[in-house]
Amino acid sequence: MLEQFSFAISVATIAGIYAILSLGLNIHWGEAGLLNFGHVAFFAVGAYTSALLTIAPPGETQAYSFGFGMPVPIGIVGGVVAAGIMAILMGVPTLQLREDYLAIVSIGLAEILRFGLMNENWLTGGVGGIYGIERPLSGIIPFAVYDMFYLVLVLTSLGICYAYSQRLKFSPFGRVLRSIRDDEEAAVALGKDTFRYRMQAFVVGAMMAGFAGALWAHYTTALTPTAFATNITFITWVALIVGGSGNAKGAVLGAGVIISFRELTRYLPDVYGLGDLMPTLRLILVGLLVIGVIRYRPEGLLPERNISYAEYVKRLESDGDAG
Amino acid sequence: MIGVDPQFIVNGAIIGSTIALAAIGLTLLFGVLDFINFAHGEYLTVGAYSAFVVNATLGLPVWAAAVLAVPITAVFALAIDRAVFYPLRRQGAGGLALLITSVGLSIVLRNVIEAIWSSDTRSYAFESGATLNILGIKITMVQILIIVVSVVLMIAIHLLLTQTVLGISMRATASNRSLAMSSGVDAERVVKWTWVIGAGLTAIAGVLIGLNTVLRPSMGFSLLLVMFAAVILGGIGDPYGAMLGGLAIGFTQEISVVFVSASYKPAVAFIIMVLLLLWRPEGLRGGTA
Repeated sequence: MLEQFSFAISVATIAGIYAILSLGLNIHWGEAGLLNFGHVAFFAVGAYTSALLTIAPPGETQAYSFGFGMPVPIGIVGGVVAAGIMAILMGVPTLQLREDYLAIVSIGLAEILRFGLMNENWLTGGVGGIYGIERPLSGIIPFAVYDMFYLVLVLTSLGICYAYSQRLKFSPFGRVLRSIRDDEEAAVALGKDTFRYRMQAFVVGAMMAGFAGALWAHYTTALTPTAFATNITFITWVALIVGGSGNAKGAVLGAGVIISFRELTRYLPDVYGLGDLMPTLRLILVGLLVIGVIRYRPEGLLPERNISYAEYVKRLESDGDAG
Repeated sequence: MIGVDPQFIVNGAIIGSTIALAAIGLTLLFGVLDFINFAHGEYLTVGAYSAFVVNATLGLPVWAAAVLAVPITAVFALAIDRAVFYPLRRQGAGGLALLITSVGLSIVLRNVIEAIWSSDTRSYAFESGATLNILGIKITMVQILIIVVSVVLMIAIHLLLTQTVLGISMRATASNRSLAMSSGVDAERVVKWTWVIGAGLTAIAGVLIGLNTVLRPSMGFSLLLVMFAAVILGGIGDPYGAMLGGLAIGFTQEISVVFVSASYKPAVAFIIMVLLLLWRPEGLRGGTA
């Protein structure tokens, strides 16, 4: 019983981190129509930055040469900022061109970053990776309930990102983003600087992914390049598309469904002798899900719901009454 | 370029010509279907592995395997189009829906290949022939063959595009689909032939790469970025641009080994691509695409 309980907690923690990733992608694709196929890059940059900022300076045996031993909150903020900076660098050459260019550049950069993580031993520890990343407040929280504490931390972070996404949906900024997504020419004709809006959306979504990465680093306490393969990007996409892009609830629901499915199938009894094939079969299923959802239910489980003008006026009036 | 080992030029020509073949397929499909096929790398893998089945499992010589890989991959591409992309086109789905679908397709195909043949590397059963030494440059008979086959195919594509009704219809559809259709071009027929030609060329590229190195389930996916770079360098949708782009990327990657670690070869292609996007997003040849 206790075993199942701690398993459930770990699945919920991982699902929560993926839900944050998925909310970030929802701002890119769902709200702004940006085709980001390199989401894992922001995740990785957030994770490695936070790890390097917080870890103790390396000893003789470690391959990496930096470690700043700073407090965990500074590490997380650093991870978020680093992911945002990378988004700016990626956005400059692509966000003024047609949508597909960003898709190509983002998938490319994510792959190259992974080469970099594997090869630049002085910075990332290479394939050996970085170990012994600090868990926040681990000295104060008793070990027995630490996983519970971390789950609460992840869910609180998810709550913040979710609240931001919901606010964005109904803010003027969110409306401009959706207008650019749906009809760029109309937005340009109304005098909107579409590049600037797109860039802001791209940076915000990337920062969420960086945040998720930092949470991941301090959860697993070890980082290796193999953990940042393109599959993470694809799983996040599947989560978003299945859940319903353009809808923060959908993004969270999708991440919950996909991660539960992935983690639970990991421990299926090996009835058919498929043990070694399971990861491959799981990915085949992921791919088929993408194809199937786009074809049969492109709006996902929870479709995007835009408030109508009448509803908007009503909202304004009730706000007015309250104030 | 004094100081650069001439061996790089030969290696660049070998890599560049195979990339160019695969990139022509990618860019033709983009022109006609108006979406970037992220599963294109997997067509290359399918071509290479179908030749492997013919060669290693059925025991036919490698040249016969290479020839048979073309119709196998072309039929495969047509079947995939019918099952996956055609229904979306009929629904009137945009290029982005097709693009996301192709990403899903890429994951499926790559993992199906891995499930069947495992992630181990495979090789064709053949003699790579003598290694010649021309003015200090080493080149095997197979590598000469790779360059010759690629050049012949590129000339054939040029003749197809300029001299045949099909080729002219393809170019017309690529530059203005509705105008081409109102001039009596059967767009779905052009789409089918584009898949056949694009997948066929890509299959040959896969076999040639398999001859020069080894087969892996991820061989096509790992070349996807390089193919994109070649296509963007030449201007998306421009087959001649893709040829030039492929060769340029091949040479640059090989020469870059002098300056950076060989594991960053794909990064070199990527950096060229990003610089070009900043400087001339319409591609080196500029123009219509």
